[in-house]
Amino acid sequence: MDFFANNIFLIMFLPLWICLIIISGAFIRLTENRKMTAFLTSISTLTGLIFSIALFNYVKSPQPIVIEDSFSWLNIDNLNIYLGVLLDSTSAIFLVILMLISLLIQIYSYGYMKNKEEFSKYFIYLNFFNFAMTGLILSPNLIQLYIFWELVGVASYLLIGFFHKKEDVSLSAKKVFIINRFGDTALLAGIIFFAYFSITYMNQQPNEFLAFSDLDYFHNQLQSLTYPNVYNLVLSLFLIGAFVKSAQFPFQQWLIDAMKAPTPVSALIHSATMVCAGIFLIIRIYPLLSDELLKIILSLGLITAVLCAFIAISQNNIKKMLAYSTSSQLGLMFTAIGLQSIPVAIIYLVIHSFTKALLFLCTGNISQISNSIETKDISGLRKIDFYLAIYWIIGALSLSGLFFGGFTSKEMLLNVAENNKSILFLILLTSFMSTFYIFRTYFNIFEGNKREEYKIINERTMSFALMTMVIFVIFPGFLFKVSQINMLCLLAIGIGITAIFSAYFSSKCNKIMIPPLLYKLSQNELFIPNLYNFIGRLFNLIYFAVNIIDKYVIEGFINITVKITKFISNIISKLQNGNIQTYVSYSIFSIGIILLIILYLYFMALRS
Amino acid sequence: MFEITLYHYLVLSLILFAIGFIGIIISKNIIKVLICIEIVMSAINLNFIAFTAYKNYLFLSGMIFALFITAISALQTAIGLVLIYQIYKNKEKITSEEIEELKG
Amino acid sequence: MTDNFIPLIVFTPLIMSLILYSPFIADDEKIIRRVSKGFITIHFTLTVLCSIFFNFSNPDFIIETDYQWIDVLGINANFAFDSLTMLFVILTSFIFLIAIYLSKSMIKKSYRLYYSLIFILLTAILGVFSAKDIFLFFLFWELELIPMYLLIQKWGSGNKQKTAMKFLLYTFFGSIFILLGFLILYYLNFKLTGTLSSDINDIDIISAPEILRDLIFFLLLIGFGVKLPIIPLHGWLSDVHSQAPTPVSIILSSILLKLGAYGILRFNLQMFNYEFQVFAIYIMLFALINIIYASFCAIMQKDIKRIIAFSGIANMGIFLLGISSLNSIGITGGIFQLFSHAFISAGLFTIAGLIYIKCGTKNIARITGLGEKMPRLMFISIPILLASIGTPLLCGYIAEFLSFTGAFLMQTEGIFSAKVLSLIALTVLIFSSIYILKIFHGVFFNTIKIKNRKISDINTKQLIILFILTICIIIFGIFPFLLTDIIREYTNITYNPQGVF
Repeated sequence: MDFFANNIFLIMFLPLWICLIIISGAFIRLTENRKMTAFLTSISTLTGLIFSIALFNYVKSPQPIVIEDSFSWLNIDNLNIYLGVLLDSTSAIFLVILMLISLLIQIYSYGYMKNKEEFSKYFIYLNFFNFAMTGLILSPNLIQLYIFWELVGVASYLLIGFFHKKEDVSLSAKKVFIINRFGDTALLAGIIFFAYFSITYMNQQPNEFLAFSDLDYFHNQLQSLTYPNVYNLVLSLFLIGAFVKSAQFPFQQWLIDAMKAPTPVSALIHSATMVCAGIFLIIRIYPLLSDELLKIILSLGLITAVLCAFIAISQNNIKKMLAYSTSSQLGLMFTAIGLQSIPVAIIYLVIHSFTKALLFLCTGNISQISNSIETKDISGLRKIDFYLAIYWIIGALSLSGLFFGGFTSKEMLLNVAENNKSILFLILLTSFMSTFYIFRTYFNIFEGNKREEYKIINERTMSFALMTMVIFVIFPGFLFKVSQINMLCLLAIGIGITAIFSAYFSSKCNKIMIPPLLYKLSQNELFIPNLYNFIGRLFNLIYFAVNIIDKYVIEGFINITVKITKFISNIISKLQNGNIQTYVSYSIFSIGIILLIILYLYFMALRS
Repeated sequence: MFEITLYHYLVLSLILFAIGFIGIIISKNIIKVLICIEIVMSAINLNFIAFTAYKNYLFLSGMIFALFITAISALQTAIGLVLIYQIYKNKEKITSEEIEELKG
Repeated sequence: MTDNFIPLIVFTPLIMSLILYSPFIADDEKIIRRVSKGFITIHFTLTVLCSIFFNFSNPDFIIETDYQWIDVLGINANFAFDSLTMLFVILTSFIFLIAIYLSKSMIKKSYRLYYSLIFILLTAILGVFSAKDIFLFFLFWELELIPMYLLIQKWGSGNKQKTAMKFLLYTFFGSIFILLGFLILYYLNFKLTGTLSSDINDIDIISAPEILRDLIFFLLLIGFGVKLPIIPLHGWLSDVHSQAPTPVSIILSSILLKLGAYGILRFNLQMFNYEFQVFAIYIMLFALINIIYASFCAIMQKDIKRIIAFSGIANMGIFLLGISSLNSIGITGGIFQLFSHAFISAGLFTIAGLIYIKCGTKNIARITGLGEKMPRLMFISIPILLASIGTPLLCGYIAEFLSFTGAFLMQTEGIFSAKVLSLIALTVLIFSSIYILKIFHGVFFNTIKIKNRKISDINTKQLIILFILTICIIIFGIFPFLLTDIIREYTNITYNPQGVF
């Protein structure tokens, strides 16, 4: 066990090392051995998985242990930044999920990307993402968290822009990066504020600079030193950073644009791991949050959950629907945090990761069978690939909280929210809509007439990954005991079954039974993309104005100077008329004037 | 009759100088300019000789300088004529209004 | 032994530029290129050797060499290397190494003249960095203008004559202020101490009336601000960067902008420390204007090199922001930014230059889709472009983080608060990502539009140059303490930073 504890950094650096090997291989142009690339990647992730499972057991029992180790990185007077690792139960759980899902998706990617070009570049980016996410989970202080936060954003951008020949992919990648940058700036502002507090007011800190283990100490000191409004304002910067990263309202736009990535990437990054970074941040700074901030998290989480589920109802693009679903479920996780129960949030996150990854992998299969991800283009898949339909149903049941893992987590969430009627209502509304849209998609895609051009895919790695993912969706449900079957539980199940039936009828009649105004709102995604475009155009105007000032005012200044100089020199050059006699007269006249002046001065001197 | 003092000579040389100078500035033909330069030179000569004669006629430097000026003005006229001839050969005109290579 | 280093390092390039015209070296392209490359490699090794002898851990350590010049007036040719100068000398030699190796693909005529001018430029720049006497400083400051003018005028692209003249006249205009400041300084020193001396260490005008000291401070600030550049004195920069040949652009943006920064560090911060503290918040305001204005201008440009030029102005704004925070965190961040920006902009201009020679145009609208023809260039330009926007583990982040934190920690009274300015300056992260992504997507993404030209990928030599730059960026990003320790020690001794409680 000591071996694992002492070598935690290996989990982080092994993917980086493999990444460098693949880069050098690609540049030196050795034969591009695809199997070896995928194999090396999977080995590094497998090692990480073994490590994280061993460490998870270690820190969990018999009583919580924390492993912490760091070295000084940057030291300037009072600013002393450390880098290292921090392993407690939270990070151990996140690490296990990351490694497991990452491993399965790498195996799936080998099959998915087998026939596409630039195979090694894909795996380079995947390894880099692994490295960055591990660094983020294992950060012991806020500064290292920020470093890897940005690196994860970079990895996500590189993977989204992977198919760089298409024009819409390129635009989407740009938008994703810039929106993420906005969140990063907010987070950096919050961290700098904290650095200021730490350096100015707290001279002796028990641990290193801005460490997570210090946060209780921070909280006590800061509450007494600053106004509560200032404190809340500073912490809301952290919240903005977390909300942007986890695609909450109104920042969920980037997740929708991120769906232009290859499907395994969507499964890995944008449903299971990176978007959980926001939740991870909130869990880490939880000791600092005051009650008002928890209320803000609660309300924003609920708003996101309801609105995103509402938009997802009418989407016809499978990946878009799943993206909105991810936002919505993350909103429910934030609600759990807002209700001050972190274990519920973590369990919900674990189960949701597996479920969403399963659904995305199924989408990958669907897109390879039918070359499209719009529901109007696909039908009758059940008759072609029966197992795919089963997997989708399992995922759908889990997502809607009716059976398997999702049932456990949904029931825990409802129990936590028991006392608050309005919150309960909104959560149940969200679960109704979730069930509705996921089953509507099922009925639209898998039922109906079979199309002739579809052929089943026979890729071993893809099927293996799918099957393993299904096992991980089914199992956790039986791990946690259901506490009791009370009224709330039965109500939830009843709502779910109603939703399934309405989905069936809706897909049969081919329309959704809500008022047309709401339908229009939902289909246009609440006009939020238009809002983003408008903001973009507004800024374009500002840039244009500044450019005009630069071109005409400052350059104009230079041009005016040039013109004045030319004008004066034109006038003076008229004196040179090429006629020597004129020059002679100039000189004689000047001598005459000088003589007169000298005479005048001589006579003045004589007189006095 | 009144006596001819130094000042009469100086006024004479001033008048000659002025005539020559105005001639230099005004003349259109370059040969006229040369002639007027001669007039200016002789005015200067007169000035020197007048001073020597009336002030200190043992101070020979003035006389010698006048001889120098005469000689050098002759040289100068010769060289000037050669230059004018070259200009005439190149351009066919020797009026100062039309020679303006140095303009601008 | 150490006494001989300074003339060896500073004057050998000048001698070399004369040797290039001697009959020893035939007028053959290959020989001239090889000799130049060999010489600059030797020169770089010399500077590294000198730095090994240099004791960086003691911030007071100086190598000095003095020569008699105009002894009657107290003006002597005094050179000195202290820690800051030594770092800049190594940086200069390195960037010139990169530029000369890159010249093979980009310069196609009049090789002898070109390499001679580059070496004269090298002497001039090293002379500015190592001069201890103010008139010697000014001599070398003016000396670097002539080779730059000739280089832009002969090997540039576009409207090169007008641009070269604009550069020359604009920078001369700035130098007038510097000369005026130096003359007043020299005269005041004479009036107050009774000795004629123009050595930086001997000038002592503490007892001068305050208005005169403020006057000299502003004259020097304006003069150096033309070079730095401080907006609104930046008019020459974008044209020159865009139309100069690429190796000259690299030298210009990596080293020449730092000359202005070096002047501000040496004179405004070191000699006139008190005035700097009085005016620091206003300098911070100008730094903020630099950052925001330059970023906004960069977003709308259509020429790759112009975008990079404006990004250079924004980065120099970050330098000013860090410097004007008056504490050791900020000043260290500012000086670190100079080094990190040197590497980053060298990388950026190399990429732009390579694209220009392969595609024949600099207009982003006309170049797209190079990703399919030039995958190697696309991959190696990813770290360089990311470094320019402040991605962590690359050197740009350290510089920005330290500068912003330092600026935030500054104590201010009065209307302007350093905290507000520093927070507004943080938005540079967003705006810089907009224009850098515009370059990256505009050039490498989508499908290719240029049809009638055969575009090949970059060859191994160019790749190695970019690779070396990337390695430098990554090393100083992951191990920033290599530089920051030295800079921190130097800052604490020299610049009298205010404590941070």
